[in-house]
Amino acid sequence: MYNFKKISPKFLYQISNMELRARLVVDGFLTGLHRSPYYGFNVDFAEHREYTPGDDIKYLDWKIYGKRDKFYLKRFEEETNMRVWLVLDKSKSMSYRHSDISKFDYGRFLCASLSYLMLKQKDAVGLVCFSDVLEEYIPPRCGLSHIRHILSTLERVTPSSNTTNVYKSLNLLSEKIKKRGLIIVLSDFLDEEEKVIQGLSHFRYKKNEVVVFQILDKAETELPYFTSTTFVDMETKSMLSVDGNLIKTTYQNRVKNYLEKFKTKLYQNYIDYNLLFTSRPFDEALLSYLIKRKKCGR
Amino acid sequence: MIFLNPFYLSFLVLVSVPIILHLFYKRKYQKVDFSSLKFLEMTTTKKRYFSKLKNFLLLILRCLLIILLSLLLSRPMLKSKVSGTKYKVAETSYVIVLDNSRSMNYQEKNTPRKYLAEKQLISLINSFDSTCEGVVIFAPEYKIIDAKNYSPTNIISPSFDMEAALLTAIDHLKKAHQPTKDLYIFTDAQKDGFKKIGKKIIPADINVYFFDFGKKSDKNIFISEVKTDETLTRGETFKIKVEISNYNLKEKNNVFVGLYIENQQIETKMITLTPHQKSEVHFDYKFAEVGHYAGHITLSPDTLEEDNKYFINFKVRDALHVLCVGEKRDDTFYLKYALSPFYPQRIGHISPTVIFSSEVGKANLSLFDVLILSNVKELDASSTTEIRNYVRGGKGVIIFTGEDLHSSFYNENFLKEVWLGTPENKNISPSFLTSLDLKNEFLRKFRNPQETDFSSIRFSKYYNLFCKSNCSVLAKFDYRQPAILEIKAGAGKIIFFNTTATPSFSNLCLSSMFVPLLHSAVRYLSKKSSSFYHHPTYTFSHPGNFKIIKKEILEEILSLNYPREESNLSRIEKKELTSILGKNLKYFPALSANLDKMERVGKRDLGELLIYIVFAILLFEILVLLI
Repeated sequence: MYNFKKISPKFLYQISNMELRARLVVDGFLTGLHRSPYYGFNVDFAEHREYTPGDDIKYLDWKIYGKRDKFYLKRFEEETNMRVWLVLDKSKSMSYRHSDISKFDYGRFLCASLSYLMLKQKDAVGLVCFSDVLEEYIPPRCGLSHIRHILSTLERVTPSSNTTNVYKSLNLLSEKIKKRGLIIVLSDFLDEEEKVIQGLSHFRYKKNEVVVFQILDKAETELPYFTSTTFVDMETKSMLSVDGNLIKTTYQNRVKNYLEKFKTKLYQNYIDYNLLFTSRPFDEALLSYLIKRKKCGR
Repeated sequence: MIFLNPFYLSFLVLVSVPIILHLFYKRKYQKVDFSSLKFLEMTTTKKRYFSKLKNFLLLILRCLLIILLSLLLSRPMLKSKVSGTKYKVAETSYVIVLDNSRSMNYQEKNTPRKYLAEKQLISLINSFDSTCEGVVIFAPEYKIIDAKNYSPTNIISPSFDMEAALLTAIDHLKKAHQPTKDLYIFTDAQKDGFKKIGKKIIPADINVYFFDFGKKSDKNIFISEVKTDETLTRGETFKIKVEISNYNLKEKNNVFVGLYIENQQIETKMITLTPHQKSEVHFDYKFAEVGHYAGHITLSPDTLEEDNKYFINFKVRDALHVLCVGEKRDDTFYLKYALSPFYPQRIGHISPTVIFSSEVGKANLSLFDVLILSNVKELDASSTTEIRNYVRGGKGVIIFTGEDLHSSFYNENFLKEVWLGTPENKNISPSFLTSLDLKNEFLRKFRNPQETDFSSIRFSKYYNLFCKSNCSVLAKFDYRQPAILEIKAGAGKIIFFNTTATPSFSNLCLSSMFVPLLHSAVRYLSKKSSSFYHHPTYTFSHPGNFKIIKKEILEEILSLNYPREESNLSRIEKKELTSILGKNLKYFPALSANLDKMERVGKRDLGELLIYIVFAILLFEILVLLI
């Protein structure tokens, strides 16, 4: 479906300007798509286009066909029709970095890219940063100035809280959101599994669409420590000394099981789930948003 | 357990190295910030315990590895017992000392003990497997013979030098390579065989097995000594004294002792022998003709036959020819009548010839057995040389002093070991003979004080004499001056009387002791008058009478007998054996006990087992590391 040159998170990390980062990601991503995503499902007619096989026949103009005996598709004027909440976890655990970029930075860059893409889509985008409480709250709006506000916030924000309470934070947010929209949650979700699901289900209960991006470092799933290591919890500062080599396989299995289970439970609650590793490009996440947006349109 | 290289046990100190490393390594943990310990905590509860266990196991394995390697280098040996000869003994260097002396021919139920010993020796050799190295040592050469090539021999040695055999065996075992070193001694435990051996000659690492082929009840009678006059003359009756030893616990009756001359039985006597005593049997005989005669003495047969025959020989002469030389007629007057009372007619077995000192050069000295110089002042050079050669050739000279004697002549030519001074008068208080050496063969016949009386001989004058090393004083004056001397010169002897053969210095020539003393001296000096010393060396394989013939003329008969020590079956006590052969001695009564009852101590080399254990530990360690 798409074929474009991927921009690696490592490369983005070297760029200091958040807007530039977002532009690079989104433009690169959009260039690769066959069809323009800028045209939505608004009722205001824009123009006709000749039908090409593969086009949705839903938009065929039967009147033209009656007159000219040819297939033409109706095209509509784009309009803001979606409210998107970018919910970013800024707990200390998100600052973990084994490779080039931390989970939090990855999340920030992804938020920036998504908000830029949304600007292009003319969707209203808001930003919420949370740890155990809601720390940054920017309600969704359209316009470049608003996007710049979001980007500057993303540039400024750092992981601060020593604790994470996903359930509490998501509950608070769901209470605040009055109009339904698309909720994109970016976190490592290293919290109690059941509570996280409950928190996310709240959005679903209020008829919101939810997309979950679980951001993890590869090291968190593979545990590449071969010697005896003392692990220090980044949030609680508690320590644990183990022989990395000895527990590696068991650890990997446990993490894998957890992710499978988490993913299954999210699907059961009609929540889209995407596992993102900090080493991978952002395109998967962007594409996932577009697909979700399309579904929402139907 | 024994360690051949105990030095390497010091390597056990290295056990501390893995312990120190373990403790050091335990503290060195890498500190890492991690997002969440949620999954780690879930995982590590059991793993942490296993990790500790694993580390502890590795520590133990490494310590064990060092301990085992140290043990391996120190070559540990485990003592193990092997019963009898049914089971094979491995990795042993052994030496079998076989006593093949004459006493081992003792008949045990009509079978010689040496035969029994060799039978057991062969089965013993067969009980060692191919990893063993063994040798057999026996008399007379005490050479090392490979045990695998050993086959029973008929060699019987007249005697057995146990010390020489043991020293050869120990020397061989010291150089041996196998971990176990065994010394097997097959002997009848005769005391004489061990008496020369000093204490504790066997090193502690050698196991000694003593196979005793003797018994306390062993009995033996044997001819221990035969004595006879060596200077026999035709028609003269002489005595043969045979000493029979009885090595029996009980009295032995009806023992027959027979005298055989030229294989003809001359006389047989029957005697009774008391236990552990010596008895004497006397035979009287006279030869009618001049010549050499071979003879032997036989004894009733008993369990050890080797010593029941004793070989002797007789040299019968026409008479003992004595040349008496004097300065004046008086000097030889008493001598000639003392030697032959009816001189010049010969009646006795001594034939004297009297000449003056000036006639010595003309006389053929080789015809005379003994030369007597009586108060001879001095002799010309050629005569002196002739007499000196005569003595060195094995003949005897008797010298009597006198007023005319030139001391310097005698000091220079005949009395090199003696310094003859000037005569000293003892007229006021004459001297007597004292300190007679009655052990000397010349004076031995005067041992019986009832038959001899030297007190009647008074010496009024004698020469001052100073003896050097190579002369023996046979009698002294009561003033401690030498009275009779024996001086060795080459193969012959000189008997020097520090008095005259005339009454001028003493009344010796007038006393009753003069004739027996002179006759004894002549017989004594006549003994070695043959040229025996010039015979070449020759080894005889068995005892007997051997004739030496030169130019078809019988010159000499040699009578060879076994050493008498082998006949004495006195046994060495077990305590003495232990003190000589060490505490590692295992005694085995080979005649009464079955060889299968013998227990041997072997040493098992634990090296191979330790190597397997080391490999097993290494494999186990690799497995532990892989888990």
